[in-house]
Amino acid sequence: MKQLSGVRSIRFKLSMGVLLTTMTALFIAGLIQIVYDLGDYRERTVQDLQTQADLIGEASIAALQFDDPGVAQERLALLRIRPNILAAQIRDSDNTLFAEYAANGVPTLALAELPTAGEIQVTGSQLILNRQIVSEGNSLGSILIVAIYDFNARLLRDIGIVLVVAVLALAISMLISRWIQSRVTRPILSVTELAQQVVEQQNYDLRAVKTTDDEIGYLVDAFNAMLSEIGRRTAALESINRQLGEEIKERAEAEAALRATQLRHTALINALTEVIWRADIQGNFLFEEPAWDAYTGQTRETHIGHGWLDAFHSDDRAKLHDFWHTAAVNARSFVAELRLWHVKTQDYRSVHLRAVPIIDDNGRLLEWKGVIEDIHDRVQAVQEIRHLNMNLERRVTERTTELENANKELEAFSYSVSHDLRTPLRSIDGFSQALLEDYTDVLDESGKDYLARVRSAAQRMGGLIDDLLKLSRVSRAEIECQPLDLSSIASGVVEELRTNDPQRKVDIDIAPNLIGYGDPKLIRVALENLLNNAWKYTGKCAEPKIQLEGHNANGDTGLVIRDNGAGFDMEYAGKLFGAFQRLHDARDFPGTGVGLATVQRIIRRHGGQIWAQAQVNKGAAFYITLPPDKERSYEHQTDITGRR
Amino acid sequence: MTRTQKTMVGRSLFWVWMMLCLVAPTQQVGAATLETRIKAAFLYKFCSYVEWPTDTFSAPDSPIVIGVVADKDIVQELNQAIKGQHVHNRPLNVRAYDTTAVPSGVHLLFIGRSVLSSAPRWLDRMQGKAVMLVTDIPNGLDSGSGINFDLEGDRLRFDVSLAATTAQGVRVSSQLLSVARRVRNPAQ
Repeated sequence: MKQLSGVRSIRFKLSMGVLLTTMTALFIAGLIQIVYDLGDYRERTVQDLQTQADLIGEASIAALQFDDPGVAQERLALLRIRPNILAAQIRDSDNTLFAEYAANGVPTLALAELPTAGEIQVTGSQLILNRQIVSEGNSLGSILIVAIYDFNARLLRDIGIVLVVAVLALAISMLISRWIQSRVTRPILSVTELAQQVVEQQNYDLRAVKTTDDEIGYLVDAFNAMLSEIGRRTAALESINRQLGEEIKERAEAEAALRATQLRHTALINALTEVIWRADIQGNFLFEEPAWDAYTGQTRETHIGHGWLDAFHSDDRAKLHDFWHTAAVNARSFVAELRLWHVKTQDYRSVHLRAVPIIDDNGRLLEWKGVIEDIHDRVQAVQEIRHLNMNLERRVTERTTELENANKELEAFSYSVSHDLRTPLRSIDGFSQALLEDYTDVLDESGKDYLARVRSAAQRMGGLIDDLLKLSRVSRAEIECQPLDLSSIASGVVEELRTNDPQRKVDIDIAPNLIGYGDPKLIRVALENLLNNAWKYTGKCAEPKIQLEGHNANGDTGLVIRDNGAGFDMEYAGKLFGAFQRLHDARDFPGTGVGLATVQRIIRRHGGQIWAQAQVNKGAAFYITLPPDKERSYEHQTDITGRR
Repeated sequence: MTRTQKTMVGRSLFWVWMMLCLVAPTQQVGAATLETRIKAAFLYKFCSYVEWPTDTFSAPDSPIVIGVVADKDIVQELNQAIKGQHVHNRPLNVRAYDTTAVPSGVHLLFIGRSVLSSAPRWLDRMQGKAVMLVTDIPNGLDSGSGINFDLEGDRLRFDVSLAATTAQGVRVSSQLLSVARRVRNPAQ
């Protein structure tokens, strides 16, 4: 910061300015004054002399006219009153000297040097004037006056005055200007000082004080406003800086993450079994293709141009060529499954080739980029699966045929067995009965008892055979599902039960309008079995009660048959539906143990479920569910063996 | 001798020489002619210094009339002298009269020498008229004129009688008085 009192300071400049202007003004004024004054001096002197000359001349007209030099001389002598007039002459019309005058000590004038009429001659410090003396338009003569005309003295005097005045004026003006200056510069200097402080301290909270209401005051306001703005902006900048710093940090982190990702990507790509390649629009390999070379064992020389085609299986080459040609023409990406030579395993491996055209903004084809994915293992796996599938299907077909055969054999067997088994049974039962009837009086009690037992055993066996037959039929029968009124079927079954055992009074409650979807015959058999069981196992009950109603089965048809009979121990519930499994003694409750197995078989074939809940001596409840329609029936869901 | 005196001597000599230069035979006549001319010049110059009553002029530009009694030479010279001249913006006229005339309508009247010698009381007829009377005889003022010429050496001088001018009712400027040789005051 320059010194404030130096040559370049405002004060100096202002002072200089004032000085210069004042001096210029004074100089010009002085000059004009001098010029004017000198001119005026001359003018006045001349005027004065002329007037005097004219006056004296006028006064001397008579003297001239009447040729009286004495009088003329007297007139001229009056000029002694004016000490500045040195000499005078009156000449007549012939320019002869008529009268003259000279002040004390002044020599009279010589003839030669004198000016002619009307002229003014200035010599040295004298002025000589010649005026005509005129009367009535006639020139009677002339009068010459010589006067002191000290031009130089006057000039010097004027210059002196001007200089003195100038100096005085300058002095005063400098004083005034200093005062004004200080009024002007003080605020400027104070602002400057403040600015200096601001710059040195970098403190934008400082403010200048506004002392005047002029341009400086405006400047101060503007300056303050600027400082405020700067302060604000600095603050803003700092905060932005901080933000930027953070962002940069974030960016650095992001970049680091990106790099890490890129590294992972690169590693991943390198780890991929895929090969990435580039080719030009004609399908020429142009560049280093390290991935390709690593896979195929080719080199730059061998893969360049169309050499890469050789790495493919010869049978596939034609296909590839066709693909390529079409693709090149259409500039569309294409895929193909081909066999490519894998150098490491020294074998062709199935690969998935995918080529993508790179098109620029104008739709022109720039190059091809592609990916080759090793799908060999997959292909192998697929082939194996297919193989296995085919095998499986074959085996399944075989098995089905076997089973069908087995079934047919079984059917035949069961038919014949039943038939063959029944016949002797019938004999045993028949003849036993005949004995009982025909030889009652021969037989004693124990004999009858024996025969009765034989009969009952035979009948039991017959029942068992029937049940078995039923069971097998159930397994084989074709199922034809239709909507069924389960309530009416149940009622029919109950009717039969009552008819067959009219002595028993059982309270049976069948819920109405129970609809289900299933094969009528089989469902009837199932209901028969369940209701029969309920009927049977409430035999020892005082007030037997059987209920048949629907239950919520999540969209399926749900039925529950409850009885308050003997019930069973839930611990053995697993055995409930096994064939020939009986949880009760036959002496207590007759039965073959096949019924529930049958029911289960039937329900399962329908795609439904059956389970039971019971308590010993408190009754049992059997729950069955049936799918609501054909779609979910057994045939579509389960396998042949009846297992889900 | 003072320079002025020297000059005056020179001038006089010049005049003498001038006179000599004029035709010798007519020396007398030449001198007389010069004198006449000067007189004629004086006469018309007197008009500048005389104030007549306003009623002597009919209009602001009516002429000043100089009358000359019995002096043809003067008339001749006057006619020459006044050519194209004006006095106080008035033109000048010259009238010649003989001795028997009683001039009227004149402002300045010059009475020739010969007139008064034969009729000394000739000027009486001009009484009461506002006319500047000019004579040219020794002691001419006694005869009642306002101005009288007198040749002093070779200089033509004149005397003024204020009594006469007052009596005639004309006023004479002090300028003229200052160059007159003698001024006769009214009291005298």
